[in-house]
Amino acid sequence: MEKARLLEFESKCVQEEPPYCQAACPLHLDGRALCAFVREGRIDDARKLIERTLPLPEALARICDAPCKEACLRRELGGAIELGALERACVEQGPLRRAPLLIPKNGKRVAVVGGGLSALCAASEGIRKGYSVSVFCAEDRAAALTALSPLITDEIARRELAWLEKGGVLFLPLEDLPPLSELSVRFDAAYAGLDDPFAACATAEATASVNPVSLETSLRGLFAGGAAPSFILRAADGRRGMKSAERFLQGASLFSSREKEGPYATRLFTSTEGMASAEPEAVPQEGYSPEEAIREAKRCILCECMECVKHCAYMQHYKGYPKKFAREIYNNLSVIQGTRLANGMINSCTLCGRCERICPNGFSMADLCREARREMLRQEKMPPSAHDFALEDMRFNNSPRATLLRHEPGKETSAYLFLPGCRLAGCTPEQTTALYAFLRDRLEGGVGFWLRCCGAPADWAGRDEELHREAAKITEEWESMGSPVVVAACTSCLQTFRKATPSIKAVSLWEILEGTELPEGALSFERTLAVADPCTAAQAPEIRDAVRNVASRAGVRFEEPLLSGEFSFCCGFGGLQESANPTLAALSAKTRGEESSLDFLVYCAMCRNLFAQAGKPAVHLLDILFPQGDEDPAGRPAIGYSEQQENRVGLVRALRASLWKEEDIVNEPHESIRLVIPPDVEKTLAKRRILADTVRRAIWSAERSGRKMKQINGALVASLRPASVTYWVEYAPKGDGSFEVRNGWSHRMFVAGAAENLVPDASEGDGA
Amino acid sequence: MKELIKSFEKYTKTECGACGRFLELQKTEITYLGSVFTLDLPVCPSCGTVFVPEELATGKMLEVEKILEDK
Repeated sequence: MEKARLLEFESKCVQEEPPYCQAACPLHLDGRALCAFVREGRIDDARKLIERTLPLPEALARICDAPCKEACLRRELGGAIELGALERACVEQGPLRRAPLLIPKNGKRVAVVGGGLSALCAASEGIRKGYSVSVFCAEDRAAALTALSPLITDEIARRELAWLEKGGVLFLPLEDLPPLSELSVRFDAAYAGLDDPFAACATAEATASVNPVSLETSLRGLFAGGAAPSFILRAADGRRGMKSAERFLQGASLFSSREKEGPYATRLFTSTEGMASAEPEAVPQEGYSPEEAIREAKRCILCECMECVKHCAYMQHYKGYPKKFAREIYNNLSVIQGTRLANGMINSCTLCGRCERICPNGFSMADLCREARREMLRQEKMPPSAHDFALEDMRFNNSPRATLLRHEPGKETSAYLFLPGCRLAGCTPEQTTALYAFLRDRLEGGVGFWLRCCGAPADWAGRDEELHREAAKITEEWESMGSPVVVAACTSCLQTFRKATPSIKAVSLWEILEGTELPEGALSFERTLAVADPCTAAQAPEIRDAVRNVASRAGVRFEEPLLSGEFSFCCGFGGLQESANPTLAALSAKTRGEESSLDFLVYCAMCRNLFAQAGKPAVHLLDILFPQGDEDPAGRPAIGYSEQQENRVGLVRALRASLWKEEDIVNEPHESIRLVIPPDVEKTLAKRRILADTVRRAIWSAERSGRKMKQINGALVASLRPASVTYWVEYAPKGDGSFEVRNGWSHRMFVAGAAENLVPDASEGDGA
Repeated sequence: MKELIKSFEKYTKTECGACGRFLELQKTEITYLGSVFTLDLPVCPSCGTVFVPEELATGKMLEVEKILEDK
């Protein structure tokens, strides 16, 4: 990833932008951080923050006129935070550290004319830059500060002045000020604090006109400011003047990139939706007590954006926000030697795009993670374990056993082509059969049947070449059917078709059902449900409307949870999250399930499966339209990968035999192996992603070749390495010719002599 | 790791189904993503078939696979 691309991503995320108060403060005191410290009773830390930010902390914290209150988001919700009073409370409740400055002098001499607030702030900034600062002011130096407010006592003023002196500021009498014409001879630069009448008078001929940005005067090297009534603006002028002096001494531009020096509007976005109003803590004459200060600080909203993070289990899991993730991903892609810490994060995004839809600037984690996945593949640094299982499943779903493409029985052309999708066909094959019969009955012109994978897993994995290969085959198959209208039951298929094969005219099943009479015998469903839109319908309002329309006509009562429609997010299946990070996928489904206490109404077979796994009752709209049995569809368990693959193969065979009267179906040899898998073993196999088909192949191969291990307890162990994973299966033959499976495990490492010779050769098949 | 390998001695009572011989611990080469290791694993002394025990595959081996995948 190019650095410019990182910056492009970074610039869209506003989470790290300063809070409203800090941006509005002429000295940029971080009021949010201050409130965060105070509310936790960390007054020492709050004082350190004040000391770090304000040039004369003891004085300014007591007299701050808090222009930030104008920008505070609390303003409309009870009243702005009393930040000035909080600053005062902090410095009154304990001493500042006043650590000596450890900055070496750099030989530059700077004169400061005047002894007022602005001049002293300029002097404070000057010594922090390593300048030898000489302040020309009246003899009673403390008076200039004590005159500002009764809150600044003589003692406080003397402490401020003593710190300046300790830092190297040389206080000189007014009489020693050289004439303006000679100022540049004795000093490299100068600042006049115009809040001191003497300074204003002494520099009058040069300060009649002062540039508001650079504070330049008509005398080269002399800067001036501090005439504003606001104390904090006078102080800010002192800082700005000394910055100009610094630029002048460096020969740098006096004007470029100074927009954020004074008050400015932050880019931060903070939602106050649903936030309760709260009145400010009244400020007593003597200032806040510690308890009052804590109460007031607790009113602070602690402004931040985090809009996209709020409901995203993925971003919450990786403890960050898009800008931070972008940096981590950029660094991850740049690793030459060392550990790539962000691999898991890159591969765990569901790519649902909700963040992009919700972000004020359209930050897309999906774009970022997709680009990163592609680059990892190019660099050959993609961890094989991340997506292999899902890609193997995709390849299986596009293998001859699990695919079918036919015109409607008895017809030679198709006006429509029904594409149920892998999950629907795998989870509910009977429903798929019933739905196909219904479509044939309702639609004119012939409805063909097309079972195959759309290529979404390749797209999600960032494997563009594989996606394009599938897209080419999809187009060829579609054209071979006379280019009919594809009726897709799955919104992910539809999304992938529209992206990879835009020439194919594809519509959603729900749009078709919206325009037809609904099937007879639909389930009468009593409970009110909550519609959970799949993330792939978030940008398809026509599909969402059609679903609601169909559901209403079917007599289903439903409510809209807060995060449905365009703000719906992924159940955990999308983007291959479930493949790369099954634990997080379960959390995604659980998080989404918590949106509503009602059972969900879904129209995506993947969503239903993930919700069922997470224990969230979910009813598929097809369960209502095409009920299968009397059981409550909301209680139906999730269907595992093994069963889904077997169901798809079974569906293809059943349809070929029943609808197209095709009897030439040849089983693969290992399919003759009958398995008995106890439930606990089934769970272990599912968790370890070992498919029943793999178990059959391993046992078939071991029994045929005799290459197996015999354990002391009599159990046999077979192994198989079909591609990049070695599988081990512990089993025992039963008297009836079946095999009891006792355990299974796998590894990716290649162990010479473990299983490589045991791959079954299809040519040995005896055809069952 | 030594203890794990020692624990593999129990598999010397496992029999190779093809040759009928008991397995013996032998140095075996393991490779993944360009890295090569050797480890004492139960092997049939006759045909050389190697047995990878469950506790190795789901424990140390998985751990090292993950580390190598992130390198």
